[in-house]
Amino acid sequence: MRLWLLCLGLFIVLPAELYAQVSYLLKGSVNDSETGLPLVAAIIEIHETGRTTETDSTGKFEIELTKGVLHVHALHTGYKAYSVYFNTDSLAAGLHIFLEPSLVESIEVVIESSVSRADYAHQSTDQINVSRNDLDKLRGAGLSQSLAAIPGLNVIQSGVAIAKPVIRGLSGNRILVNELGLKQEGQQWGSDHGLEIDQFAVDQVEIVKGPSSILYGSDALGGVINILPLSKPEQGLAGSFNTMLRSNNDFAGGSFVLEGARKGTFFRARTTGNSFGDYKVPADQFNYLNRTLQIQNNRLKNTAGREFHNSFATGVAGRMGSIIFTGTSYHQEAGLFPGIIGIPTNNLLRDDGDKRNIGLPRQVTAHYKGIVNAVLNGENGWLQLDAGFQQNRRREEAIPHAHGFAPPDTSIIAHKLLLSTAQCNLRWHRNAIRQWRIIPGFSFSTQKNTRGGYEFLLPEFSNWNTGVYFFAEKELEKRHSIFNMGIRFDAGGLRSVAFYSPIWNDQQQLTGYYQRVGASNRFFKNLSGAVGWSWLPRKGVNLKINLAKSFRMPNPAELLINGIHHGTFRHEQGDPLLKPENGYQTDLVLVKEGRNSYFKISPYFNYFSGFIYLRPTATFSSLPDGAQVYRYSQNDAVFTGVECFAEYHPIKALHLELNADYVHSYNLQTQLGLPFTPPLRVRFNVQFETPVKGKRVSDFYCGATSTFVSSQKNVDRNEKSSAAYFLVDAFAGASFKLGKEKVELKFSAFNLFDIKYINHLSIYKLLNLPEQGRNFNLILRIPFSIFKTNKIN
Amino acid sequence: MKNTIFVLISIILLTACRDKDPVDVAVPAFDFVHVNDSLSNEYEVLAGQTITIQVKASDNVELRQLKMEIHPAEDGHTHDGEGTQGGEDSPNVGSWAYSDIVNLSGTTETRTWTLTVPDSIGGHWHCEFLLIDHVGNESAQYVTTLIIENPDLPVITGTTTPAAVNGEITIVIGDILYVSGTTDDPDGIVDVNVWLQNESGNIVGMVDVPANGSTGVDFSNLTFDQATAGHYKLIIQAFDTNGFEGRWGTELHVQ
Repeated sequence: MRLWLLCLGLFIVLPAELYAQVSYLLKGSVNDSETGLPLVAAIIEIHETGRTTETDSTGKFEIELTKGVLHVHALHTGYKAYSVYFNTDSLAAGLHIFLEPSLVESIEVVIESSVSRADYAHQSTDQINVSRNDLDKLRGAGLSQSLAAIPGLNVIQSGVAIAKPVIRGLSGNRILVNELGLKQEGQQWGSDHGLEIDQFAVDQVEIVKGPSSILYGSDALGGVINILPLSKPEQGLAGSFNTMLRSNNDFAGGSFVLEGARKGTFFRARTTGNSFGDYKVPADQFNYLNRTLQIQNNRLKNTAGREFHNSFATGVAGRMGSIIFTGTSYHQEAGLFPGIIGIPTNNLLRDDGDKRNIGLPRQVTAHYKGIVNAVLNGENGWLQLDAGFQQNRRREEAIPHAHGFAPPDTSIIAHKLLLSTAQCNLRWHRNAIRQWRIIPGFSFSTQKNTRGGYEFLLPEFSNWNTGVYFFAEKELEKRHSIFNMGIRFDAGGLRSVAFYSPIWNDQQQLTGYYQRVGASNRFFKNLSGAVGWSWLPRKGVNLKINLAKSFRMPNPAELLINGIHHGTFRHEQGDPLLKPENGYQTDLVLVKEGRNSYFKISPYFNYFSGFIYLRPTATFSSLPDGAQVYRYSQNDAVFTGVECFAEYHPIKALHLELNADYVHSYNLQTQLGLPFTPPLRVRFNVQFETPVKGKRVSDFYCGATSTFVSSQKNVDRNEKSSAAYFLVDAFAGASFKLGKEKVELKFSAFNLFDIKYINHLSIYKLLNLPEQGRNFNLILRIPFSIFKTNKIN
Repeated sequence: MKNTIFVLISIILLTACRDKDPVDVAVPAFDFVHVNDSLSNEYEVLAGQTITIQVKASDNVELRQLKMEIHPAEDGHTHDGEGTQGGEDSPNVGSWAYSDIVNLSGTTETRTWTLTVPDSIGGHWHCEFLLIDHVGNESAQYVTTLIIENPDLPVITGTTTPAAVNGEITIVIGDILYVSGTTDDPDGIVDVNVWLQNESGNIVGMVDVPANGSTGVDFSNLTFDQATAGHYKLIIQAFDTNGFEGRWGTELHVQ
């Protein structure tokens, strides 16, 4: 209680520090550190306000801001990213930045966590920044699939439309997807429940691999996918049209964005529509339960879908700070292969003559968000508020059918889940006090879940979760190192109502009810802590080490679920007495960078006490159509592995990259692996790119990627192992001048040799269904400008 | 002293290197599944007949449970499809479900069920079996199909214009679908209905064909049109004087 009062008091007195908002015009220059030549069009960003500007033809810039200690980034293609803290009082001569040339793309960008706001060298954990350009090259069917090419990241998928991210073998409620400062909340407990984010609206993603609970909350013990806010539009009114075509499933998608800024105010509106048909596989039959089943026209029946998303953001940014309001809506209707509910038969898989038809079974998902992001600058730091409300509406529809003696269903809605979440995060970024930079923070969220439909999985529940934390970082200049530490206290509660199922006799008469799930009222609390150290012993070498103790409260599904989850082929049963799981995690990162090379290796070891997972029991489900009961249970477990990344430029235009990742999971009680452990993966990427700017064509690149994925035999009980496979992808792209605008055209071919393979992390693996075959992608981005004013925001 | 240390270290190393006890991940298996003493993937049985189902199961360590379930084919999740009366076009008629979970022990066990097939049903039913051993290793599902013939049900033949291709009729909004058919039953047909139902199971169009107990009722060129695109089922249903039901059905796609 005393801790609570202390934290409350801290936040009451914090605003008192936000005073004396004195205007200041920062002038400076950006030059090449070797030649001393001025750099034109280098981007300067004041992180606290989000204000940006570019250097002029003489390499000079100026930008208006508030007096105090601020944090600036300088970026330029072909140069190592630069960031620095400065005090406006000590900059009488202006801010003069010298950028170091580099051929290595990996260090051209600032790896910038939206919370701790420091560059890569300051971070003790491994973080990766993925830009829109990178996403376009990797572009999968959705955001999760696009990110799956990054070492340490994978995706659990149901077909091509439904996918959820995996970091170092952990997924669901063990990793956190953070958009605009708030955690995405959308029934992420289900392995067949995808991520509800419009991939066209994502410009930059930051991935934190490893424990991040201190700043992001207890669910972030596996890592964070942080979708960063879009950069503010340039002065004027402009927009772009993006389109994407994919050959394999006749995907046609487009996104139109209109954005404008005038002085400090701006707006951005986006609408996206995607439609895709049943996807093709390099097979015309598959074997399931010793039966050979036909895949007619090589298309997996009923895997089509359509999406429609909208978003609108408006805000104002000034020297005192900024405030941005964002509203988004996401709609997806995705068909599921009929064999996912019940046993597939040739009759059920018969071609319906329409590859775009979305029949039953299917998922219909809508996700709405309203978010406020505010930053208020003070002389001694800045206050950051992220607050919002989101609602996830999920329907799983199936052909009405009979359950045992119960009369046949009269509706197609098997599950109807409505999850409403309100969240608030408040952080105070205190400027350095004796070289200590501190961030105290507070977060609160509350949820309410209601249900409907003829099937039952989860009862209605409400929960709340709150946390207070303190993060501190000290730069030890003499030792060329940065030390950080943090502590967090979380508490949360869950309250659910009982659910009763009807009992039918063999005459289809209702004879009574039995309690399927009892009422529950749980309270959890615990402490998390972390220390990290980043050491730069000499130029180009960086060693990071991170130790963390994290904990995660059991989620409502783990406590309360009790029913047939057709999407995962089993009867899933929660345990209302589960305790929180505790993680003891460490990771190490070694980076060696040169002018034309970059090497990184990051081993990690995670020990979980009371790891919660679905354990197959020696009991059959008494529910009609139910097979074995999988019960949420707790065992001690280890996840350990390593990621390697090497990049080399023998000549400026040639990019060679080799990366690999490996995860080993081990359940200390069963002495087996844990479900959905990604297999070893090695990727080699060769890319030729020429930044030479022609009159009409510029930024040309082309290349190929080969991926080897090993077999996976480290599996849990009853989990299928999978065989090794080798894939080759190719890609090319360029920019073309169209009037004053630069049109981007990008082409890629995935699974070029149409290899038939089974993805170990696919839900359809259980049906022995192969993955998508050869797929040609075309991305076209046409920007336009209605009018422009000046470049300075 | 040196030798003692060497021996101790050797013991520790040897102990550490000792193979762990093997984890039991072997799944239990069905030695056989017999229906009426024969082994097949499909069994033709008559409605009203008593059938004997015998299962022999085994496991390397110890069996725990066997689950047997009978429900309409298509896993009980659809009621159409591979019906018996007219093959692909005859939906199942009548309802029949059975489920049983039995505890097992030891490494081998044989279980027998004697069941009577209801006399009012016809079509394809799945008979599914699953095994679990003492630690939760689950066998692959064993599925066999019971093709239930019922000569007492009315026999229905339907034809449509346009005709079905690969089991599905395709029309565009505004087109007329013509349905003709014959129903036969030696006991006499007392009721014939033809209807369209949407994916939700709601009836969106229905024609009641007059039937006066004669052994054959024919009808021709019944018309259906549909203003909403989507998937539908066209069903012809007939009842005889004994209350036995016959069904014929096909898919309709309106685009």
